[in-house]
Amino acid sequence: MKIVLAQLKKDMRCQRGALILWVICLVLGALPYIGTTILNHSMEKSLDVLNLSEGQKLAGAVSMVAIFITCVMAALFGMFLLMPILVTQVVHEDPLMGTTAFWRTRPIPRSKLLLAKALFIGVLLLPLMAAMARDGKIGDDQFWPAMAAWIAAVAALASITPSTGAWFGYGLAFFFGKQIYSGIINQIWSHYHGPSPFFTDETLRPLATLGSFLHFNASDFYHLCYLVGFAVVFIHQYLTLRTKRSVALFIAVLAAVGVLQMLAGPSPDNSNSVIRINSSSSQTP
Amino acid sequence: MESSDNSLTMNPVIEIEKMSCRFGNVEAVRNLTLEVPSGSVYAFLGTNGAGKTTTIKTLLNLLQPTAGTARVFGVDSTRLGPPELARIGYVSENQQLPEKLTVQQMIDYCRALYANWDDALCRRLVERFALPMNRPIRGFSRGMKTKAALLVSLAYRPELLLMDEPFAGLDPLVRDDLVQGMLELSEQENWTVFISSHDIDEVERLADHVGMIDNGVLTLSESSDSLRTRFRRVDAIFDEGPPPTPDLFKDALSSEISGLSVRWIENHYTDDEALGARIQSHLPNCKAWSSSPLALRDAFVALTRAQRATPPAL
Repeated sequence: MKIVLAQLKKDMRCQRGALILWVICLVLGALPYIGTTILNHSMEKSLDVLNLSEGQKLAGAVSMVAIFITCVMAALFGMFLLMPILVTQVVHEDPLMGTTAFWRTRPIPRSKLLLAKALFIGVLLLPLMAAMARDGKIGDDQFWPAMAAWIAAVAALASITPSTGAWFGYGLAFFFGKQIYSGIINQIWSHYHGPSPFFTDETLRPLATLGSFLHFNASDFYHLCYLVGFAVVFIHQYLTLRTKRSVALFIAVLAAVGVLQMLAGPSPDNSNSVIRINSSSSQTP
Repeated sequence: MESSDNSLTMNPVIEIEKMSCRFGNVEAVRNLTLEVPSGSVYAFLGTNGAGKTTTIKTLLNLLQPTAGTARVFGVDSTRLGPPELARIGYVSENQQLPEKLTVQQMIDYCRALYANWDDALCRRLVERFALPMNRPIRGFSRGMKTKAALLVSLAYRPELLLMDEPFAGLDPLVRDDLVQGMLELSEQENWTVFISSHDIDEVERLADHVGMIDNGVLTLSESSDSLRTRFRRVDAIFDEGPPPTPDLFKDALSSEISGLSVRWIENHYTDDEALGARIQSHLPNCKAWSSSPLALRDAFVALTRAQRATPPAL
């Protein structure tokens, strides 16, 4: 544990600047929630005591909305931009590729390095988990599980690339590769089977039952698949340092979940090809 | 490969046996066999691209040999793990230090990794190398970075210190600092040092064993004393008459006839008496001759040239 903590401390020291910025964004993002919770109880009374005119109340409300939007924007910036940067940086700080990494010549077991990095990423994901816990479920709006899957993808990709430039290049290649692959497979499937999906609500009934128990919907299921798949890539790369095999695993995860999504067929509103399990059916035991 | 002396086979810390490392079509190390005895300072010399770095990286399990084996502390290099790495110090010009940290932070980090970290020795080394403790390493000069790397590679008293081109790009003052520091420590520590370099003059002050590698092939591995004794530069002046017979240079690494004088590097010198007898038999009109010890640099150059003139049979 001493090594894990030393590694974690070192990573936090190395990412100090970005971490401070991230914490500021987090606090700003949390302010509206904290503010509304506190103000809900005392706002009416306070406004009565101040004896404000209707115009002043309106101006106050507009200011509050402006502050709220600023805070949310800061939080989004923190979540969407800083978190992937932090995750990539912390993984690349001790590269798993090449022969020049400092840690590879030191008595650091790979499992402990993995644990330290996972802890660091876990700390970053803590607010997400807190938000999930607050809602009592993985999420209705698909934002939090999608975010967790996105961070897992970022971490897995960072573990199989030597630098930020390579991370970006590989990321783009995988993204466009997946789009092209999805298009081709979709066309082939439609050609032979028509627009009917391979999966139906009936096929997924056991999953839906499980989903109702765990409170997740079909989209969460895909994100969970991505999350688990990318976590496997990340762990595999740390424990074995076999980059070629990890890259193959990464591609396999993308392909497998992509196929799963495609086989579910297009959604009625044509927005996303996700397994359609409406909330009423998923709640039915 | 030139002869090696018996001391090399005693308690080897590093044992390399018929090791080859291939990258695509390039064979960086070819059929390398050498042993580094415990307690020795072994200089591994070679030109750029000779295979020195590949050999060291293989010893650290950063690269895997394509053939043969390498063992460190009796453990196969491909199985080298944290227990062995805790006994090895490594300094390289190519190593990526955690440059966002200050020296103090790097010391704090490394202290947690080693059970036998010696704070007193660490403080001594900090003073010896005059390193600023609270500045990030990324702002350091190359020499200071090397000193910082050496600091965190020595403070846990490693049994084996692997150094890959530690003097590359350093000014003479810093080089001298490093060499002096290592000489001081060598007197107190019972360690084995394996140092690769092409800065032969610096290495000559440290090494008691020398290995030379060229184009991935080991050309020599023996003690410095044996090397100093074996190689001699010989100058002879002769009268008008027949030039020396080729047999005189049978064991020579190089020979050069200029007018009535001849100079060669004797490869298997034993004593002046035997050499004088040989000169008399192959150069009867010799007026005078002298022999002088050869610097390691000259031996290296002569050996490398001789090796390249007659490439080894594959």
